[in-house]
Amino acid sequence: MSWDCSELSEAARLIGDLLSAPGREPEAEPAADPQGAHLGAAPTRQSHPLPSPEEEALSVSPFRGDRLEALLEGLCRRAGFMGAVVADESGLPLAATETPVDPNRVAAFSAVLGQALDKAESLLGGHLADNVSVDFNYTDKLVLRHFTMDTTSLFLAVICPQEVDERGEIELTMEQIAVLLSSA
Amino acid sequence: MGRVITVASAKGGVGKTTTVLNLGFELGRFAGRVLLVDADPQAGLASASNLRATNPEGLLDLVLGRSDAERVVTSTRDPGLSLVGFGAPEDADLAAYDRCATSGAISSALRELATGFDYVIADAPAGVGSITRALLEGSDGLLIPVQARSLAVKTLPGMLRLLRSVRAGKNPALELAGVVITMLDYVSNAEYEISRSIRDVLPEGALLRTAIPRNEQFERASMEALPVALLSDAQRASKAYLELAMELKSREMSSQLAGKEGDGELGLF
Repeated sequence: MSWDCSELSEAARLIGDLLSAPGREPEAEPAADPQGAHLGAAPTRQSHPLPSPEEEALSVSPFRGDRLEALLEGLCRRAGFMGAVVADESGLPLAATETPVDPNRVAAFSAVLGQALDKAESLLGGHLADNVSVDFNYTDKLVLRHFTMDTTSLFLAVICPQEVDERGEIELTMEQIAVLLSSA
Repeated sequence: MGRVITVASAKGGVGKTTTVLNLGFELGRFAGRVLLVDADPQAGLASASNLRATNPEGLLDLVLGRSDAERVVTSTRDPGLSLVGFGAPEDADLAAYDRCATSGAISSALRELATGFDYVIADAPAGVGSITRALLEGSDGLLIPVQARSLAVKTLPGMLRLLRSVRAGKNPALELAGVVITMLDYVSNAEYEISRSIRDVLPEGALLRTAIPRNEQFERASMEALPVALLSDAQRASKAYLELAMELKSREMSSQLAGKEGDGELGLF
């Protein structure tokens, strides 16, 4: 049974109106009032900020691989990762940024670790075992996140310092990859 | 300049301050430098923010011209999170603060504070009054927390009308960052029914997927003046705000992608 509430319907209508009349850049900032004068003029909003490298790639390239690489470069820049690779379950790299080791090796290693994740699920009863982190020297680690697109198994592997909490950025980027691949 | 999001609701007691604090804390973990701004004269935010030191100066002093942006920003023990408290008002100050709402000083202050941060999250007083309007005039997005209770839901149109009015006036770029259900009691049949109705009736994309559960750990965190994530046994409560932060960030990134393909579309949706 659904709750019938006229205010909720009105809220839905108002949001619908907002959708049909999208926001736009202000034509001019309001003049600073004497009481606000100590703050100086209101900062001017940039209507066309300089694009970041990944935005540039997204706008320039129609190719999915370029877009994926732009996403990964953005991930590494934001999160301070040293490299990132998206690979399929056979170890084929679909996209990669510059990494401290050959991205082909990272992709191949992803496939190997991916099989270990599968085994962890079946042998150890670990439900939804979908990520693994491996410290490969005293300071850095490789984190592998498994995800599926429809029925295709994919891996996102990142190389980052051991002290970094990488989970949030990885989850976000995974969603972006899913959006990008599903819209292609 | 960072993205300014005002958390506002026409009804009080729906979890605005809790949302500002915990959402800000979680965004600070992965999305850059976050500044929380307490614009509510009740000044509940500073008392729960894990501050390194108390600061008697706040937003009030900034908008009244008694201080500057550098002095009112206080760092917390969390490296990604800073705070501007409300300040310590005398009676006459509150009337002056109200007057600043119409002068443009509050919205200008928000924009000034946003320099140097990736996100500014402002805690608005309850209601759709002049202070909330002023905050929205200086914001990029409005996040509306709503309880799955009839009285709270009935106040939604008022806040949306205010958004529409601000967009039609001084801030055409203002967007609805989303509606988030807070303090949800999963075992209450009435709340379940209302939350399902909200989900069914609001247009797709308006309601955030993440709902914040009712959890006494939020009260305990408040008692200890901490974001809930810093309690040792509050993983479930803090996870909800981590998911909310990730959902908002993900939407922002999606809208940036979509914006490249179809300029002119409303950013959030």
